Amino acid sequence: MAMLRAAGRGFPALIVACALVVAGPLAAHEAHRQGQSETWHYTRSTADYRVPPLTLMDQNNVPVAIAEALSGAEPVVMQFVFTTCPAVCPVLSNTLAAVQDDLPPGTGKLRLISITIDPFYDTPKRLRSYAHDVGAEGAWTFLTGDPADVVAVQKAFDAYEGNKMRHIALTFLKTAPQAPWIRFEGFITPDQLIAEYRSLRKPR
Amino acid sequence: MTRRTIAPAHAGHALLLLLAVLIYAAPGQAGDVGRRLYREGLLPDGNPVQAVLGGSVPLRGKQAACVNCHRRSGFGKGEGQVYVPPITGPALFNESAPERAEFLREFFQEIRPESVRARLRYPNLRPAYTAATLATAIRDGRDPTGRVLNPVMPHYRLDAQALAALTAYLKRLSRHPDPGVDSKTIHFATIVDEAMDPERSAAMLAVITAYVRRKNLDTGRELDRPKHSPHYKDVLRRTLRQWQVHVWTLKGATETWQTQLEAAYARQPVFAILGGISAQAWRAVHEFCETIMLPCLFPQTELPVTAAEGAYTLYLSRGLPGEAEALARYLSGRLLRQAKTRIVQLYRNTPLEQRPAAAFRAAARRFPHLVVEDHMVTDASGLDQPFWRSVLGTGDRPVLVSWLDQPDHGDLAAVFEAAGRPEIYMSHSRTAAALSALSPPIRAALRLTYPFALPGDRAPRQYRARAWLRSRGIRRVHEDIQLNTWATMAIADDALSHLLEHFNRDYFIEIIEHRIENEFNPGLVPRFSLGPGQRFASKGAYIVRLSGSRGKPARLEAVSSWLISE
Repeated sequence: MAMLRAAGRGFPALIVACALVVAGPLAAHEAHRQGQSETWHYTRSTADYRVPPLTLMDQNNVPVAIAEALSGAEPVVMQFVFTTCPAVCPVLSNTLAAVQDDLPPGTGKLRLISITIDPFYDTPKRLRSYAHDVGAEGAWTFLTGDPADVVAVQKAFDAYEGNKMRHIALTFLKTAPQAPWIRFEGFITPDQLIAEYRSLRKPR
Repeated sequence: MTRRTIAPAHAGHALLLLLAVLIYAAPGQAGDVGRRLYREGLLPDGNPVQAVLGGSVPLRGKQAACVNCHRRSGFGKGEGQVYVPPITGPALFNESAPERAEFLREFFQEIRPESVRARLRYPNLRPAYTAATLATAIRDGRDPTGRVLNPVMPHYRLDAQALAALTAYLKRLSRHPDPGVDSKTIHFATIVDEAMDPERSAAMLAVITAYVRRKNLDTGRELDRPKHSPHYKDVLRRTLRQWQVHVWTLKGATETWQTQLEAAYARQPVFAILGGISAQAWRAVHEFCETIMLPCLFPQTELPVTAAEGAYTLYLSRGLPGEAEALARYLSGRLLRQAKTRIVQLYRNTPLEQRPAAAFRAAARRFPHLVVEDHMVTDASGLDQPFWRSVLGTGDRPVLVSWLDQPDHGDLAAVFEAAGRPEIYMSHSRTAAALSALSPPIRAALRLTYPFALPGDRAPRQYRARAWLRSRGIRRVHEDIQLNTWATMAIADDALSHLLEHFNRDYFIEIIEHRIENEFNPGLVPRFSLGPGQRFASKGAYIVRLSGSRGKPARLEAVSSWLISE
């Protein structure tokens, strides 16, 4: 079930920052209203997704068994993107790039996986070039594959919109092999994502 | 539809056109700097622009370029849950006003999530931007009323000089409607290569004529009944135009086409070229369209420009070069575990064979285990037994790739056993007519590049397209040409209805990129899809083999997945 909340610590911080910059209660109110009615917020839900046993191909032409890649011992963050995506993906991918760069030492390893929703265009070579453009490093894998398989993976994550131009911003987090998937719908900032990740990693 | 044949170039017109192109292409230095910032994310000094997204995500260079979201036209559009407002000159530097036609389109013609629909409901009125308020929006993300912009709009670090260049560029961006449209008529052209089989050209023209006649009848009916306005149709009346399609017939060598195109355009500027058909290289038309920034939609050609993807020509597929690229990919995987394999490639000195051969050679070069040995066949070659023995050798069992257009290949069958039954690869589109006459051993060894949907795997949309053609009394002849033409017209029609009154060619192409995936594939290929910068609606091919016994019609069976060109 989707649970709506003004998530994490990042969001109030953003409002405060805006209020300081514009220095006026009216503007702060506007910022709040806009922030809620538009895009820089997210909803969070928990789900058990069954990942089908399919093989995709990474940016270096290496076959990747997707079910295993998404259930390894290390925590993983996954997004659906495509390389010619106009508005949504630059935000999603650059958010992951910032997480990759800003993960505090001692937080543990976090694997990043971006799966294309445009397998008709995004060949491994194009994914490699995209990975370079967003500044991806070693622990970040970009996947494509047979179009039917790519659709099956999207459907497994309840993320298939039928047309890539109806693409919505989704980020998935899994902290341990047996843990459920956390689904963030909307735009989550790197700080928020790191905070979510750390809170889940804490022993309960 | 009027029919026109192109006369020799008129010197005065050509000069005028040249002048227009120069003015278009060289808008002054500040404009160039602004354009580079907008499109590539580079500052006046050539360094990448720096920006911050959502307070904490750093962006630089290409990742921060305005064009990513607001697109080349500046009309924006957005995707899924992000609404990207227009930032054209007229949009920014005029007071914003609620516009019912825009609202109706966004609200009822697009699939948008609730968050965007909510955003559309409040009009966000604001005064016209000034240089100062625009600077605040770009640097700090606030509009002239103090409202905070959508947080996916980055905050840019720009100095005064960069800001001035960008502002100058935005002031001019999509300021005027593009040529080819007046208050009553929108002009299009289509292209017929005089050297083309006339029956094929006629198949294309028949569909265009029928489509335009029907379209204009519908438009006329709307315009004739101003009082009858269900569903706010009167709001859209001023966006309607009668269509006129001019047939530009190109004669002689392709080197002379540019002059002919310039003359035709000078006589009647058009908003876009719809379709077109030729068996020769499309490059001359492609370059003409790039130069004057003219959309050229889905010409029926086997020889598109594939090297550098331009901005203005959208192709149905990558043609024969695309088949060659798919084949190289297939062979690189198939022969992976073997030692170096000699690939004998045959072609003649004609563009329809040379182009795919060159594409195959280039694509195979990336795989060191594929060794391509080219043989250009001449009329003197004869394709007799000595020829085949010298080409195939006897010991190493090479792979044969042939772009020749007859599948029996002379005496190939006679030496086939002695050459160790080599695998043979050809193009289905080059050889389809003669496949049934093949000898059984060749038939068994033959694999074909097949850039189409597999039989039995065709889109439901095909039934609708066929019904449309039948109900217009169009005889079924060269159905592939007819279906592709129908799709071209339907795609242009749909995009035009989304333009409303913004007759902007970049925006026209952006809408097509955005919408083609929806419902326009008439089923000849597995899928139509585009995206920003993508120029080929279908991008791959299967490798198929012929099954079924001799004498019966061949059945095609895929031996590969859908292989996509890199």
